[in-house]
Amino acid sequence: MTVAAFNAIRARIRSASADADGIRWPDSELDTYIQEAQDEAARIAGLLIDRYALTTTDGNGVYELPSDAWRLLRVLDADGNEVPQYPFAEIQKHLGADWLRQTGDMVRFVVTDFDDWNFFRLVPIPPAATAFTVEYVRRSTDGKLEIPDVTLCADYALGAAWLRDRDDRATACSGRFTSRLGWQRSRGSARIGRGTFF
Amino acid sequence: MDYATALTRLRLLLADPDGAVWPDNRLTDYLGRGQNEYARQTGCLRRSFEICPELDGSYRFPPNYLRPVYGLNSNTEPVRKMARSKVLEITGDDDLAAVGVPDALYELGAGQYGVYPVPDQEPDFPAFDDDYGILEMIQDYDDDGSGYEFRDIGDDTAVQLLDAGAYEMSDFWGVICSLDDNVFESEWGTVRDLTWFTAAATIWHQRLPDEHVWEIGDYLAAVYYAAALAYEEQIDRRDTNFAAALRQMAAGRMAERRSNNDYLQTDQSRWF
Repeated sequence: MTVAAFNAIRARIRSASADADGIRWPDSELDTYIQEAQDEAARIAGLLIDRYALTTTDGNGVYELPSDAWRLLRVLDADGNEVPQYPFAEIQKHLGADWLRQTGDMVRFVVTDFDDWNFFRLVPIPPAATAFTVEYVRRSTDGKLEIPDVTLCADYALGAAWLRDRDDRATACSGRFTSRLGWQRSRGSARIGRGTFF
Repeated sequence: MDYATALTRLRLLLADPDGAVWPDNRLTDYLGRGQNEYARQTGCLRRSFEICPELDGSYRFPPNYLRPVYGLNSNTEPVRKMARSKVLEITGDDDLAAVGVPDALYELGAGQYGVYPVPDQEPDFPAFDDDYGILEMIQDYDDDGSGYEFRDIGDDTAVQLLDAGAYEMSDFWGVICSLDDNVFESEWGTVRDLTWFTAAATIWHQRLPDEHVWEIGDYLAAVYYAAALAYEEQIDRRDTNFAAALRQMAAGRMAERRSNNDYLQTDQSRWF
């Protein structure tokens, strides 16, 4: 079944590849690539952001992001203040070797580089029922057009389709996708970028 | 994300939607190798284990152990990984047999490691007959030990699990049954209490994915890697140039993830 919301993007791809009748790639295949284009744009440039309320449980400082998360963006306390993210090695330097077992009324740090995939850790471990808001970069929702940039999605999807055919034109499409994403990335994810936080 | 989704995507990339060229089991194997490579290159999967001796007194890493990240002993002091020769040099202890709370861990090869000093506690290793198994208590209905629900964790495998190391045990191991006829009795009665080993130290480590479980969020990296293997190993479809390009794409995604970790300075060498 084709995704109606992707019609414009499919049309752009068909036009660019002189495949008006869909001989080369079926709609369902292109839909897969278009969905993936949104995921990639979200992953690279942090374009899709969601948030949820987190209430901590007693003695637990480690929490998992939702299954549609690419990565943690930030954790806000009950007053809306951001809890800073620090590498665990730095925290260990300041708090001592048992930093991960320390408890305290006020969470001072968020650690994302210590635990398993998409888990994060609050340091020190908060007392029971402390409220936070967690913001994270998420994947796109299946069958929905959430990044309505036809050119961006078409470039990626066409690149993926050419890649399947082992056609060199994949490289050019991929380059256009990355380039177009560049300016969005510079706007959207600067605060989480390398070196800007510390 | 699961293997089935990744497999579908891989078949799209290989233009082999019906499995005419590559059978499912081979592609699943390639995807598993891709997933392992991702975990190895990025160190994104983590777990911890407690330092406990095996039945034979040796120490073994968990099966999917990769590299240490952090170590903390029961005195809340760091446990550092170092070469055995370095431990010998620092301590001057020729047989490394001193007893105490470990603050050093050294690799011995073949999945084994040593600790220094050696913990003075011994875990409880009850002996089981081959036809007895172990059940894990998953629920205490009344919260007072009077009603239990148990999960069978296997037959002989269960016995081997217990033999394999105390890190597999918990307070809730130890119901013994004859698995053939489901008799919940043993020479110890229904429940055999085990003396739980108090961990002398905990090691957090990077790991490989669990077998047959999809754990990598970035499935495209594994798909590219698997496609590269497919084009390298299938003789009638061999395309080494394209395989190299796919490998490069996979490597790029892994490097990106790794550099994000570097940004957060997650470098295992910093701690150990």
